[in-house]
Amino acid sequence: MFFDLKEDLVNSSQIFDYCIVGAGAAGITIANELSKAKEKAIALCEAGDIKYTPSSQDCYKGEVQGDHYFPLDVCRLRYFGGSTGHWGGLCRPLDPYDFDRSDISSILKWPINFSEYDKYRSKACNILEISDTFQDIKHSKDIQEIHFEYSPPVRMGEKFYPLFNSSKNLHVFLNAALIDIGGSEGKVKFLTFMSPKKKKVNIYARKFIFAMGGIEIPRYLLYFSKKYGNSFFSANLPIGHYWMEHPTNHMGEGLINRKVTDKKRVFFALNEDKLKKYGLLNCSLATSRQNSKGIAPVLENLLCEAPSVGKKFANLFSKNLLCGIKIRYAQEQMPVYSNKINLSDKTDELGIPRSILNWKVSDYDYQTLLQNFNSFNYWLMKNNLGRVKLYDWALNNSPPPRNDEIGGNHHMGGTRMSSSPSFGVVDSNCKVHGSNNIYIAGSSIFPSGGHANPTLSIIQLSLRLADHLRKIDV
Amino acid sequence: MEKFSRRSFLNRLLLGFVFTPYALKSVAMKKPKQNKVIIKNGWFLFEEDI
Repeated sequence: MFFDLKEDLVNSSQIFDYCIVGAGAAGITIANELSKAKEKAIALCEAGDIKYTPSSQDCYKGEVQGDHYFPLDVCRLRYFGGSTGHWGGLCRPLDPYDFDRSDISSILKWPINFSEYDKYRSKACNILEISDTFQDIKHSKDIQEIHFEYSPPVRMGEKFYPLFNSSKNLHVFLNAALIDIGGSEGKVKFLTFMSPKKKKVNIYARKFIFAMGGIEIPRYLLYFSKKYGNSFFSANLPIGHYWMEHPTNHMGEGLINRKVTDKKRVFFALNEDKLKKYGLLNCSLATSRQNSKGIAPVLENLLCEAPSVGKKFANLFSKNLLCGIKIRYAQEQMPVYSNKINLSDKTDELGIPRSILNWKVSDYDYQTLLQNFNSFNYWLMKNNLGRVKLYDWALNNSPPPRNDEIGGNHHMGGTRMSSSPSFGVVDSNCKVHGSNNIYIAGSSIFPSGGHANPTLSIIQLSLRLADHLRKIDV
Repeated sequence: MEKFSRRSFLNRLLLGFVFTPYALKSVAMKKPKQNKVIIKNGWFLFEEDI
């Protein structure tokens, strides 16, 4: 059932078994799973309303330092359903080798095995209404065509509203903005929420799950850490550090044999052996078909620069054997300590410090991108499947144009998972190091990001956390 | 002048159907003669391309 703090009086004497903060992909998935046990009482607290409101979204404003990035109130949504309200629906699980790239750095090793994550794939695919068949096609010993599934896309808020509204043991609190944490003896006993009418409500629970997204969770943990020291979790955790995105841009264009790219968009990646041989991070290169208007200038340019192959290609193009493409990359980013969420001196209307995102694409990221491109291009040229042109910025390691994609709106790593509190904020069961009863769900727990869009993985890991909580509470 | 025969006519018809698309594709798939790659105004090219 739904309660709106804007209007409803909330009886705060109830002690819930679980209090989940944030109703996005992670929070809704966990609430849905936990509420299947009818004897358990669950509170799902969403800071926003049932629909988008500018006043709620305003709390997401923040500052960006370092490389150019989206405004922080644009790259996520603060209402029931969270950022699934504007995601594109592209789905792919992480690759098995994403879980252990200790060949590059020990920091790129997850504390859980791929199988512990993979066993929730089928159920997660079902939630996102996609097929669970991710069949990659090997094109050469280095290059594979990789498969993505397209979710409709599922809007989690719309999908789960009817079910949650009829639930007796799941209480969804809308317009409940987290402002404080309380408890004793190192155990959190309640969270304090502020209503739009500035009325405070305490929600008591036995376990608390933060699922507010990859910027908000570090922001709140930093704020609570600053306010209460090590009262509720270990001091000196790397909160906000090792933050990651998927740098995403168009890096070039070209003319390619129609056989290579017979669909509107085809994704390629290097295989595990090649990545490991050259110490490269994961990266996808997508060829997007251009219409004839877009192809003409590319062909003209090739005719000008390389008349011999240009003429051949013009002839092949007229016979419908070639097509024009743009090359778009989405790459894994090295988790580095200096990429982080920090607290600003400015506060939002609730009095919580706003976020500062300090984010840069490193030289390692750039080298990874170039090497991935080189291998892909080598395969194309060796087999005479086409010719491609890199844009100037990609050739010269200049910043990509600001009007391109920049990133995927994928906020990962600020509360990463590690068995060591020196290198992570949560343990392998997603519990905050040194805490008794605070758990984290969402992409902020990813120790490394692979190149795949994270929503499917967020849901898989949220199902895993729900499973864990059910087991320890039996 | 070549004498018309039903057999040669069918053979040519067959060759036309089977080998024309193959011949076109084989042009596109023809392997390069050399492997030295040069970069010219962003284009990755073989010397023979220019």
